[in-house]
Amino acid sequence: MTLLEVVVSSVVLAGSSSAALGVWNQSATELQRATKLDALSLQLEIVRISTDRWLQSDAVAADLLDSSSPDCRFNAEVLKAAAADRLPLGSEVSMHWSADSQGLGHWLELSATSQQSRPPLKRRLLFSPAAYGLCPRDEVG
Amino acid sequence: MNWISSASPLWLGFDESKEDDSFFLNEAQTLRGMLHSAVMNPLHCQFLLRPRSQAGFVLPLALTVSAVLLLGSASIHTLSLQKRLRIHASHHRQLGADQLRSVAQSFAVTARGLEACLLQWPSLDWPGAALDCPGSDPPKLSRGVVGEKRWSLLDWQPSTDRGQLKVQLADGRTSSFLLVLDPLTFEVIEISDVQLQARVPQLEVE
Repeated sequence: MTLLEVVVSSVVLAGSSSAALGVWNQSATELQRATKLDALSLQLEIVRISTDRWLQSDAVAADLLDSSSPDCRFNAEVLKAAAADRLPLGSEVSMHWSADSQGLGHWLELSATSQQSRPPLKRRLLFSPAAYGLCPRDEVG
Repeated sequence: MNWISSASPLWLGFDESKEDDSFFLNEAQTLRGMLHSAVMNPLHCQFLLRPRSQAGFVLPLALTVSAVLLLGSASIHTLSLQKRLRIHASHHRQLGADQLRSVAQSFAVTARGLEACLLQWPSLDWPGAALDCPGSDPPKLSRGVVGEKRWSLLDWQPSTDRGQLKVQLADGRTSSFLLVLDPLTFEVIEISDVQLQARVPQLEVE
């Protein structure tokens, strides 16, 4: 063992340790970000399932429907208010309802944002009263 | 530096006491002279000519430890990337399932009124069944556009008060749903959750 060998070994060891530490640090950040994304994705899925169950349940009243429309469709304002009241939204999840351009129903857009998830996670689903048997039967010709 | 001249010929594999080795000894001495004048890396020569018992263990140890550290960190990094890719793939799958759920909702809207009558028969029989369902339009139930994405009906198989709906998006994603029907009006009153199926080759949407 010579001094030169020790110096070279130290340089090699210091370089590899520094590189490994950097990669470990980056991996830890990546894992933390992935875990956060997973949690946000789960929150969005919970809201989706809750919306579906809520519309299937007997608690949904006929006043969700737009009585002024000849077609069976949701009353947008009542739907928004009722959904905001009933659905479990976390602080990082937001929802937005918009009417379908073809009159097929209303689109629910869910968005989850956090510092770790850029761009935000999004889900988009169509909901129609007809799919839940909410439309009056006597409307059928 | 005269370290090369003091190196024993034994290290080079020769015995000066034997006459048979005289030729090789001369060659070795010539080599010594060459080494003196050669432009060689002194460090390399030092490691080459030093006895194995005196060879350093620090550098091999450092190299081994470095390799273990780097390989370990590379493995951890690969695992973290795999987890992220898995989450993105899962989210992408959920988006596809959302589109198919939206198609099922759209089908339920379209299958109201005059078209609800068609739900009593399998989709293959709809052209003939249209005679029994005056005013119905089978193509309305066979394809459509939801959220700017085209879809087509692959199959509809009714039973007593329910039916199996199989639809496909223009990109080939396919799923089936169990639809509960009103026994009197044959309208859809409930849709099961999506049953994703393997992506099949894209069908021509007319």
